[in-house]
Parts: sequence; C-alpha cells; structure tokens
Amino acid sequence: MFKKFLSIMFIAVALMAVMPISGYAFGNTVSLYETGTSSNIIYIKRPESHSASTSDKTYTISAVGEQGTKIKVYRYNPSSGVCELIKNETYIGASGLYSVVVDLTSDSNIFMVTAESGKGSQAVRIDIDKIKKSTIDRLKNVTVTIRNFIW
Amino acid sequence: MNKERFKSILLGFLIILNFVLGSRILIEKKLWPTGYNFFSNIGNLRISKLYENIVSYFTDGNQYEIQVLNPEKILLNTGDQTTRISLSPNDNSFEEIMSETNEILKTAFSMPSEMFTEIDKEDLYSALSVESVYLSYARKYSINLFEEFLGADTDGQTKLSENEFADIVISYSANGSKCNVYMADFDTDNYYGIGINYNSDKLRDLCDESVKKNGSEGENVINYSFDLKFDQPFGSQKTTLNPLIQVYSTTSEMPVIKAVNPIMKDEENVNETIIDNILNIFNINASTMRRYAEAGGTLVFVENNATLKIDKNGYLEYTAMDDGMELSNASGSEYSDIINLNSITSKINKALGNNEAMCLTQSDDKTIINYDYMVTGTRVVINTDNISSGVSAKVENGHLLSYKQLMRHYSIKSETSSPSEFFEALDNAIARYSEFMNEININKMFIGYNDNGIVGDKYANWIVEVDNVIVGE
Repeated sequence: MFKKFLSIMFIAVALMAVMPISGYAFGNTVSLYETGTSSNIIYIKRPESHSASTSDKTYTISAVGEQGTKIKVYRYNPSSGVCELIKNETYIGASGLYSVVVDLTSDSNIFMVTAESGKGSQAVRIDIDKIKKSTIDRLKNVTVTIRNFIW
Repeated sequence: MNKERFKSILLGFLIILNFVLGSRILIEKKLWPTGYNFFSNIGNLRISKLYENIVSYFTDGNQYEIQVLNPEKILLNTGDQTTRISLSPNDNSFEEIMSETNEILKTAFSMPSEMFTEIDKEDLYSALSVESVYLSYARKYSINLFEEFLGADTDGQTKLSENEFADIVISYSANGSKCNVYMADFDTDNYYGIGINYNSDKLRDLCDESVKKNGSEGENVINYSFDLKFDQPFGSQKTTLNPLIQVYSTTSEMPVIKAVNPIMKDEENVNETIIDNILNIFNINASTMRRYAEAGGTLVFVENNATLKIDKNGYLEYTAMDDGMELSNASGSEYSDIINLNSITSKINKALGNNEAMCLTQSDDKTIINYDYMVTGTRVVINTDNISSGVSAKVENGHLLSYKQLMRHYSIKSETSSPSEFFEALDNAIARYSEFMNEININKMFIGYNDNGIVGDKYANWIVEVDNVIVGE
C-alpha cells in the first residue's frame, strides 16, 4: 500500500514538474484563438493596438520582454484554418528588445506572436491590413501633421 | 634654327633645372641620415614657403580629403520602410545628393533667424515618415559653423545660437517648389524647422534614381527606433534607443581592411623621411632640436617651445609650451581653428602617403577637435590607451596646444566579412552592463571598423555608443 502511494506521489510530482513546460510549448501550428497561459510575458510595441494598416510590402512588429523569452511568429492560413510557423524561435537578449519583419502577402494578414518563458506562455494576435498608397496618403493628410511652415 | 641657338636653349634649360632640383634638395631632403639638415632653416624662409605653396597647389589634387561638413550617412525616406535606403560616403549618389542638400541648407541658413520655428519632436518624426532626406552627421555643428562651411549669408542666427545639430531632415513638397528643413538637438530637446522656396525637383530625381539603383526590395528593412517605439520606456524595459538609431533587419558583407603603421620602414627602422616632414609641419628646427630615444623606442624631439614624440606603434604626440604654435590666418573662431587644423592633418596624411578620407567627430570639449579615418565610406573608431580618435587636437585662440594622431594607413583586402545582426550586437554590448545596470540608453549605433592600435586585419562590426547607464535601483 505504501509502495503504491509512493508511486502515485512520484508520478504526480513528475507530472506537475513537466506540465508547465508541455502546457505552453507552441509547435509548428497554433490556433487563431490561442492566448497562452499569461498576458504579461511580452508587450507588443508596434502595432500598439495590435492592428495596423499600411501600403508597404512588409511590416515590422516590435516587442519588449525579459531576457531569455522564446519568441515564434506564425501567419494565419485561411485554407488550413490554423496559423503556421513563419519565423522560428528567437530568444530575447540582454536588451529586452525584439523586432521582426513580416511580408504582407495579402490584403488581410493575421499573425500570431508567441512568447514562452519560465512565467508561462503568451500568444498575441496581430492584424495588418494592406491598403493602397493613395488611401494612406489621403489618411496622412488628415491624421498626420506634416508641418506647414509659413511660406 | 641654327645649331648654336639650339645649344643656348639647352644650356638655359639645364641651368634652370639645376636650380629647381638643387632647391628641392636643400629645402625638402635631408643631407645626413640622422635627420640633421644644415640647410633646414632655408625651409622656414618666406620664399621657401611660397615655393612649397606653389608646388602643393599643383601636386595636392584630391589625393585625400578631410570631410568637414559631410554627413556620416544619408538616409532616403520614401514613405515606406521597405524601400527606405541608407547611403554611405562611398556610394555613387552620395556626393550628388549631399551637394544638393548643402544648397538647400545654404538657402535655409541664409534666412532671417525669426523664420525658424520651434517644432515638436513628432513633427520631425512625421517628416521622416514621408519622402525626405535625413542627414546624419558624426558630430554636432552650431548654426554658425553650418553657415560658415556652407557660405550662407548669415544674420547671426541668434535664435538658435545655443543649439548644436547633428541630425537634419529635408522634406520636399509634392509640387516641387518648396522644402522644409528640420533640425534636431536631442541633448537639449530642442527642434526647429523652416520652410523655404526652393525647387526640389533635382533632389527628388536624385533620390528616386538612387532608391531604384540601391534599393534592396525588402531584403534589408530599415526602421528608426522611434518607428518601433524603442525610444520610449515601458514597464520593466531597461533599454531605450535614441529615436533616430536605425534598426536594420539584416546586415550586408563589408570588406576586410588591413591597418598598416606607415612610420616603420621595417620591423626595426623608422622612416626618417616621414619624420623629417612631420618635424617641418610642426616648425621644429632640425638644426636646433634635441633628439633621443626612450626605453620603449619612442623617438622624442625637444625644442624650446615644443616636444614631439613618435612611438613605434605610429602614435604621434605634439605638445606645445606656453601659448602654443600659432596657426596661420587664425581668427580665433571655431571655424578658423578647424580649417587650420585641417591643413596640418592634411600635410601629415600627405607625408604618410595616405589616401583615406577623414571626418570630423564629436568632442565634449569645445577646444578639442577630433577626426576619424574613413575607409570605403566607413568610420574607423580608434580605441587605444593613448587616443580614442584618429586625430585629437587642442586649439585655443588660434594656437595649437597639442596634437595627437594614430598614424595609420588602411588597405582594402579582397576578402569580406559580415557584421553581426543588429540585435546580436546590441545584446552583446548591453550584456557587459546587465549585471549592475538598471536602465541603459544607447546614443548611437553604426557599423564601423574598430582599431585597437594593433596593426593587421580589421573587420567591420557594430559600434555601440552608450549614452548613460543608471546603476542600482
């Protein structure tokens, strides 16, 4: 009886030790609805609201996090219905800064940035829409102050 | 023509040649291998100086160049990050674009100072997000220096006289008739702008052509630190980058260079001809000076009013006594001091047979003027116990008080190397401080060659300038 109890305890302890790791290890694909186990491992600096519009061919996502945090980037594939890995794991260094350039292949692009550390895991969805340059220019005229000096 | 007349012409020619060659030997060459020159005083006569000036006028050409107002880098902003490009002085279009932007700056700085408007930092960022040209200088320049170097019609620019600028942005209007000039002084957090009537078609065409020719089609995406919000601290973020640091998504191959010490003829012997020329440049009289060698092999030349030391590693140090060496046509202004020092450094580089350009770099002390070597448009950052720039000179009121130079020649090798990626370089630099730091601010990051004073191959890599490190809680 005591041996059985010990065995059960040993298995339970082993499972508890492994669970946090296996629980947040992101593979080659992740669901669009994945959120991870934590919300404060990385902070996305760009785009600040996790969505943006641009006429550019690429977009640079930036983030900050603790040193040693493992980052992966996925792109949503509508035909498979899951997000597929496009940028393999990178570890945040001593600066705590991270950025990645992603190609904008369609008008509507969805990316998932995942982060894993000793604190848990986090997945952040980022939506980047591609719009025409003329539209951006029109928007800039309205929203961005291009300084008009007195001529 | 009869034979006698031909003989007379030939004789006359030989007599003139005799005087020309004879004077060259007396003035320029040493007569004894120890460096003692009986006729050296002739070289200090006014007529000899005149002769030297005439000779240098015909022989100097553009063998090397000291870049007094050249940006270290020009960035062409297209409105998109993917097509934004960076030009170094080695790129073909750099010179043309710089010449045009200098004309625009000259027009702007000729305007009355009341026309300059104080602007927000965000206005500057907006200008960098549209079609514009960003001029990044290796040192800060006062408005007066800009005006004098550019030959602008100055009105004193009293409004901006307290500020110094190393970052200038020129944006152009859609209809091509106007330009905006933005200037940033990040140290004092002051930003100014001015709108000028200037036909920007030429600048636009030059930029478009250069972007087409040099664009990497998204292979190397350049973001400014402010684009990525790395200039703003958030939560536990310990690192902030100066807003205009460029974050490159990848780095390209750079040539390997070889540092050579030109003062040594071989492992044991110094080049006496170069030493003679350097003594002349510092007006040290070879017939009255005292010469001896220190234990480490450093040659010391002592005169009543100055000491010159040249060590076997190529480090030159001139120290003047009392008021120092009077520079010619000195007006005591910073501009005049820089121009005069250029002349001395140019002569030394010429004596060394150097073709490398040099650029003015930042100094915390107003009386210290620093230069760095530039090889293939890339800065060589010197980091030795004696000196931390290619040239460092102290000039006060038109007098040279001290002059230091690590005498180097850099040859470009056929092999190339790839500098580490941006974040790898940044992380490695910060890792040195991470044990004890609480916050760190990076002032500047650029690719350069690091010369630690040891001759041999040098590989391009990131140079990280830390602005301030806050230690502890």
